[in-house]
Amino acid sequence: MASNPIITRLKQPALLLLVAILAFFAVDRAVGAVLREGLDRYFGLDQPEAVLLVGHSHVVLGVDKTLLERELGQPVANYARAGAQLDDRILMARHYARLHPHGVRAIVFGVDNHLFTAKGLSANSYSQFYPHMGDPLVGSMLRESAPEWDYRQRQISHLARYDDVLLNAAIRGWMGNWNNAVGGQFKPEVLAAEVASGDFRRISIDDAQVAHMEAFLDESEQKGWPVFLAFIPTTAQWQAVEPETAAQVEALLRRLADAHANVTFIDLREPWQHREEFFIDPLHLNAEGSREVTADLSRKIAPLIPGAQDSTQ
Amino acid sequence: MLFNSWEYIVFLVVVTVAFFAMPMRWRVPFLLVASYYFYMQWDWKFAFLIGSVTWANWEAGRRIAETDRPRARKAWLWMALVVSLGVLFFFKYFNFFNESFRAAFEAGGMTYMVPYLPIILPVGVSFFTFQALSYPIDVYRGDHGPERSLTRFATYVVFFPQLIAGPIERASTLLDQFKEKHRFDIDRFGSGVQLIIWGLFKKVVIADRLGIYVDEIYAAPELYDGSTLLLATYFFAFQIYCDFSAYSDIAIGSARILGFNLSKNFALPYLATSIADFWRRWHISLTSWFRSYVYYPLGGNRVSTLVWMRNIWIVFVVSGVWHGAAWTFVVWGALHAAYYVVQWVWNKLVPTPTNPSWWAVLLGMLITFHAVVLAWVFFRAESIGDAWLVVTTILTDTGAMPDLGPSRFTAAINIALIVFLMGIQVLQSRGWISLYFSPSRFPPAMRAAGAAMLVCGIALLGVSSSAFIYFQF
Repeated sequence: MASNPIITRLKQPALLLLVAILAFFAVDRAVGAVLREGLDRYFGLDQPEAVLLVGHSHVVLGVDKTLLERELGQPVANYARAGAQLDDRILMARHYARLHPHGVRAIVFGVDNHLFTAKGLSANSYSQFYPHMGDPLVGSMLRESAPEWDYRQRQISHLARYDDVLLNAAIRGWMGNWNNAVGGQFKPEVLAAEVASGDFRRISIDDAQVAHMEAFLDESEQKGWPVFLAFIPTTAQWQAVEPETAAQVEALLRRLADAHANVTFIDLREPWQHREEFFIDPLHLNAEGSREVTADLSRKIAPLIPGAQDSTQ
Repeated sequence: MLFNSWEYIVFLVVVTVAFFAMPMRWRVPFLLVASYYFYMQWDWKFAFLIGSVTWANWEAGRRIAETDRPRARKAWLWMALVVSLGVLFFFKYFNFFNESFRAAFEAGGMTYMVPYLPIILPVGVSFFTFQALSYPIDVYRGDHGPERSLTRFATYVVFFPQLIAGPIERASTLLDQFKEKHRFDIDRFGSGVQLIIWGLFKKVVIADRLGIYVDEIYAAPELYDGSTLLLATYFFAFQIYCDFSAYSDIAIGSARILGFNLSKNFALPYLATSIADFWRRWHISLTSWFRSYVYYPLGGNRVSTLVWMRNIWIVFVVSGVWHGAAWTFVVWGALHAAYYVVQWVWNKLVPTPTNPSWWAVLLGMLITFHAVVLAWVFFRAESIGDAWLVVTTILTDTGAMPDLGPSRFTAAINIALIVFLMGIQVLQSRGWISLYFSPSRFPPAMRAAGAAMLVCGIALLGVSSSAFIYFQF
């Protein structure tokens, strides 16, 4: 029987298309799995029984995970992401707890003056969670937050779930590199000019955010997780921009800590906020500053974590 | 509707399927409607403008062909020139000249009464006016016969793959293709898709990434040292190449799927060994347009040396102005004219050997590239003052490590991508990888896998889509 010439003609292109599709999905899934493993290592999601750090860029740059592990004698999972808002931080804590239901030794929850300010931080902070969209908790958050088509694209391609920040974190996870490598030096005159022009993010206390925090702390109390509300230092000049509202936020944080037996407010601002040489900008610590603050954090929380070594003794 | 959007991919698929599914006689009208739909996604009102330019040039071509009277032929040609260039002048250059006159009047202590007009620049106006205008000129010269069908001519003017940013086609290269019967060809489809993928990679992975850094630095060049400005300028050189050549690649690939051949617009320009060589490789369709319709009518090189030099200066300065209504573009064009003349003088003094050594070739590439990079400073800067600041800072304030921006990791990726691009181009120049459908030494399966890797690269490293730089021209 003679073969159909059209089918004969299409055979090779169809095979090539198949090769291209298979190659795409093979590389996408294989590289995606490698990156995901690296990212989990970077965030410490592969680490059960850990002291969990959640927060945003202040914690990413301000706490030296390796040093804290050494000081506490405990594994530390630094699950902090630049731009993570209050709800993101709560989700991260729940995500870790879901992965390790009996493995939350303590939660160091990064707080700052803008903790209850819903507006002004990154509007698409959800995108930092795409690599973990397979997790039910993270997945349902993304379904609500992400545009439909963005979500679907990332279901198809695992590589599309990464941006440079996540890619860098994944590579660092494989390399075991948690160093604060960001350079720069705080320039008070730049901050002064921004404040004078009104070009800065204002503090507000949004009731819904407060309610979310209260609900999370209630949950942590129920589950028996020790929680430390750790105020990572920013510069004194930054603290002085809106002193009244900053004081209100601090009072609220202290009230929340007092209302929950498992919660402790750890204020790390003094004396570090006056050491300008420790900051790369008004908000973020450099490597040297993060080592000092980490040692201070360790001294303050070690006595409160069961099984941790107290480096002060 | 940007080429680097899902909307365009869906549009192209729908148009391709419908085009080949419908009877031959409906295909050109269908392409016309689809092209107008594509253009009206930006601003439907400008469809009337493009329609007017189309009609004026078609009518002029028809009338020129109908009469033997030289005065009438010339009059119709002038009508086409006035309409096409008038549209271009009004939308693109009116405010530039108006504000220049205002500044001159005010400097002389005089009052200038003509107000500033809030004119919106129609996207692609420089491209479609030049493409339309080439037709009546060709008919006038006897290089092409008149096109009887307004539908066909209108489709030639608005053919969507190359409507917004070229390649600028001519009647002899594109118009006649609308008379041919196009059949779906799976090989053309495959090679067209591969070129589109390569174009998308260059756009969303290389150009748009580099653009983030370049925009940051060039927004306030006074804040940065020479090494940072130099890095930003190098990045811009690759950004604009990847951005513009990506558009051409996607245009050529899209047209190829539909059975049409568009002109090659770029041929590895940063491997050029001289300025003349660069202009044989960069924006080839525009260079060719200026050569045919400006340079040759001025006498080309069949004139005295001084007149030839004048012709070179005119062509390059007009080419600069074509890109934009700003003095920075004039300087950009003038710099290239100066390079061209300097190269001519050099070639007179030091004859080029027939078989230059590899290091002479490499030296020629490096000198040409850096001359082009210097000119790009003026192309990119917001003003002549900014451009001068960038050049002087680069020359005087070097030595420090460049400011790599908020992420050294991102900067490392950017540099790696440039190395990757140049590696691919060297392989293309050696015939290993196909350049515009030339044969490749790699087997088809490996090419298919390579295209898949590029898609993976787009997924992993692509940044959010932004418009093509050349849309503003």
